[in-house]
Amino acid sequence: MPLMLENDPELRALFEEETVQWMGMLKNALRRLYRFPGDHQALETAQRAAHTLKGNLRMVGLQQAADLAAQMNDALRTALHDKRALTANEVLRWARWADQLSRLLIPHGIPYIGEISVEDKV
Amino acid sequence: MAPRILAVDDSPMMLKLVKDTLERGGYEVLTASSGKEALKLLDRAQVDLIITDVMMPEMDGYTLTQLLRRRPDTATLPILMLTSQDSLEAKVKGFQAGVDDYLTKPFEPTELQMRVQVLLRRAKAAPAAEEVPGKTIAVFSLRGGAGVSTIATNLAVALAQLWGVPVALVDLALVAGQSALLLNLSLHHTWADLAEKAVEEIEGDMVEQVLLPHASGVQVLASPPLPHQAELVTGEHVKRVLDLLQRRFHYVVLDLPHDFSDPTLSALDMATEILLVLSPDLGSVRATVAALEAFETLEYDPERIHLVQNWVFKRPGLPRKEIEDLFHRPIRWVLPYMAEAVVNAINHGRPLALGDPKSPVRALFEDWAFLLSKPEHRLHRPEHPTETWLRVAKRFRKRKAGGK
Repeated sequence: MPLMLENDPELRALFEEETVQWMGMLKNALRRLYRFPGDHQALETAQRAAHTLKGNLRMVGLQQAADLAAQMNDALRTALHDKRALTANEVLRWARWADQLSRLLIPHGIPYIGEISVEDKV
Repeated sequence: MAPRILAVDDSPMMLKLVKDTLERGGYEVLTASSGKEALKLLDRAQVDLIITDVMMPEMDGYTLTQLLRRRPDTATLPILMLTSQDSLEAKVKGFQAGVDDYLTKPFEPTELQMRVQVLLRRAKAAPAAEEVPGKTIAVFSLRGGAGVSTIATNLAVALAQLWGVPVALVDLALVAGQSALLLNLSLHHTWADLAEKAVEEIEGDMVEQVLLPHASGVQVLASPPLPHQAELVTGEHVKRVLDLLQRRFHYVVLDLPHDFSDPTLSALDMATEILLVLSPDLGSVRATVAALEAFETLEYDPERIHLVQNWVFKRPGLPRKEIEDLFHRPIRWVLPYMAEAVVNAINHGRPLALGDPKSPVRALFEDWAFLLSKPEHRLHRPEHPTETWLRVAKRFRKRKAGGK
């Protein structure tokens, strides 16, 4: 647990609440993208979640998790910028990153979001 | 008193970190979780500096900065962009939107405190004249038919065209006002939308939503379509709405009715300058005497009041010299007789100030607009002068060279 969060219970509560919320948004957006690769709004939501997670995680000193969120943010931003059709494999790669990120956050009080798998494709 | 800072971020955690950091540095910190909330808060509270995130829902930090730069009360306020977007492109975009400084997350508390301190020090050293609110110009006559609406509308258009900024035109002739008609605007929203609200509930974004935008840059607050709706507008409504508009617009032009009702008096009280319009006939002159006496009783500064003579009929009329002697003050501007052009402009919903750029009457409104502009605008060449500004500058240079 980073010192910043250990010393400030209020900040820790906010961090946990927000991270759970952003991770949930990220997961739902990626699930939607897997089903509907052309859903621009879902792509935007996923990028916004990754962007905010990057900033918040860096701010509290969770560097490894922040770097992973940054990697996702860059990939999602490029996809947004390119305005091209997404592939299922691409979304699955992002989902794997989200999964890794979620596992990294478990020791810091953030529940695991669950895998995004091929079963999600309708 | 501690400097007051407004922090805008959609992350409560980030807001807490910024708030804690700055409160430790001795600052008072207000917070808003969106751009809209920030704008709403600024209608009620004054701040010394704004810190904004970039990526926020509905309105991003760039748009918020651009809107803040357009508002007179925040146009020169220091803005610090605090974001995890660290690319050069993002920084350039921030500075282009109008921020003064850029700091990336994660931030070091000491660095944030220092940057805030430096920005506040610089702002304190800047001239205070930049901080004045929007200038409010009231156009008034106690007698109908003097051309108040025509003058108010064309002046608003000329100001918007001159400075390339939005100008608010407020129609307070609440029964059968003409401003929207003169600009060919449909009455989708009017004063009636605001009059239904309790005064304390009226917010800046609510007022912005009822303004009717015109292509010239003028935004009209139109009079209600039905006469009984006019009765709902009180002096308190007028004070509140004008206060909000003065914060958001560099110029607010008031098209006033021919009375001293409570809403009219509230508007006159808040006007920076009053154009008192008369035509050169005995009835109009007598009404002007009455208006000037009322202004004296109200202890209005005579410097705020300018006489404008409008030839609404063909000569002969009372000689200008006689009118000036009667009032012991000069007529500042004269609008020539041009009934046909005025009627055409009304019928086509195209104001004279948007007519042929070479027309003398358009030139007249452009020159008045310049002379009535805020000193901080008038005294410096704009960075990107408009076509109107270039024409006005050319005419003024020519007159100066000719000794006129």
